[in-house]
Amino acid sequence: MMMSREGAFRRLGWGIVIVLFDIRMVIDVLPDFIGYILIASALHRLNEKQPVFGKAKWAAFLMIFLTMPDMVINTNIPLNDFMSVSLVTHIYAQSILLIHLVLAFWIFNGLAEIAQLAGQDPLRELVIFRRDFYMIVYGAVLVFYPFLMNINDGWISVLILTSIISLLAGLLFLRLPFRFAKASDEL
Amino acid sequence: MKRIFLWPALLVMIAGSWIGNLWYYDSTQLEEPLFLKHYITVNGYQSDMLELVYFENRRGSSKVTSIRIEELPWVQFNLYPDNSYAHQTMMKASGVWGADDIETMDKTPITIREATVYFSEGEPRKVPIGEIAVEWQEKGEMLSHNWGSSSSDGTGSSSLLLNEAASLEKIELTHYDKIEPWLTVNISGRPIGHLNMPVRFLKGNSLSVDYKWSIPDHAPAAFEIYQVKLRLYFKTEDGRSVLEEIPINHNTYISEKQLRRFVRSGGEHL
Repeated sequence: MMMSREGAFRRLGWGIVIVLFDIRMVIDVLPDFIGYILIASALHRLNEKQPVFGKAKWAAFLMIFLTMPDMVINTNIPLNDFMSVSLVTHIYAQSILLIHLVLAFWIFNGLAEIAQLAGQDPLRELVIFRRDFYMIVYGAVLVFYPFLMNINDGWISVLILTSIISLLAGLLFLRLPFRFAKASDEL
Repeated sequence: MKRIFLWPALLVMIAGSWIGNLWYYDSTQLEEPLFLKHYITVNGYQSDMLELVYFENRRGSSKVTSIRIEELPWVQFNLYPDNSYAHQTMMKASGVWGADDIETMDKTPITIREATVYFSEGEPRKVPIGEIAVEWQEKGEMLSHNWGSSSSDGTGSSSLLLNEAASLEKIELTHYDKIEPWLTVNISGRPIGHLNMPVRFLKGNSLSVDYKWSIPDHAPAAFEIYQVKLRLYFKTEDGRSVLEEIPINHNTYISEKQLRRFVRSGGEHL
């Protein structure tokens, strides 16, 4: 049976939840690639009616393969001991984050286009606002991340604050597909 | 900004951040652990500890695993981190000797200038550690210590009481040639260079010693450890010579900025 659009939006939301949260007990029990499988299949379904997720769908498929090693490689870098992790791991983790950011950008744009096509301008503006916030926060995280190797422990409170803001941006992102699911009859 | 420039601009900023930070990180790394110069006088009868200070990189290079001093082969050094900086850790090596060791130690004064350092990578090496004088002076009974204080601003004072009448014949500071520009010492309010010797004291008289270290942050001496002794040579009324020693230590504090300058200069004195 074909998945409904509402179901596809919900699946997209749950995929983002899995990507956003890491529960690590020796290995990641909610591996990111599972999240990207859900995202890719949801985007594939949503793209059938309105082809606004073409690039996002392929980016999600790519992320399925790229994040498989993440299940066993712990890419959570200790805030106070940046250099305890090899440079290769840093570059891997940051490349993943960069591609994820591109994927998120395309998902935001697809959602904004759906809202626009449905004449839901306030919803479109909300999506654009959250997209810009997400891009600024995660763009800044990517740019300022290498500074971790040159700061002392006194900066730890700034890093914790940054983590909280990043989490907030992530939560605002994942709320959107669920909101679209609720309003799917009007979209 | 047009969307077309968004991703290239972000990529340029990320690449620039990585290149800049990696270059800076590299410039802040010590080639190998760096021992400070110590100008210390230790009285073997009164002290049972010798403390060495050194810096090593927090990550990714050779670490000190043990230290040995040839002149004091029985002294075992315990290594521990004392202060953490962005790129380095200030480490302390404290070597202790016990009462049993004192009995067997040769009581001739020695000056230690080098320590043999063992590294996690590479061969052990002798490194200069300044001048550590180990002396053997029996504690005199002339002075009783009333009180003492020292502050992080480099000042300190002691109040002492004379247990018998005596004349102060001579005053000396150990490592005087090294500390002379940075240390002023007053005895009972007068600079030690301005005292007219001998100075007579009656039994029960008090004697105060106050000192001030004034080492500028940018001076090479700011990276040196000073634990010197003020030596007071007394002669009692019955003609006995008594030596009393008062420790005058400098609380070395090295800021992040000072350390960065020090490391970038190659660990050489500025």
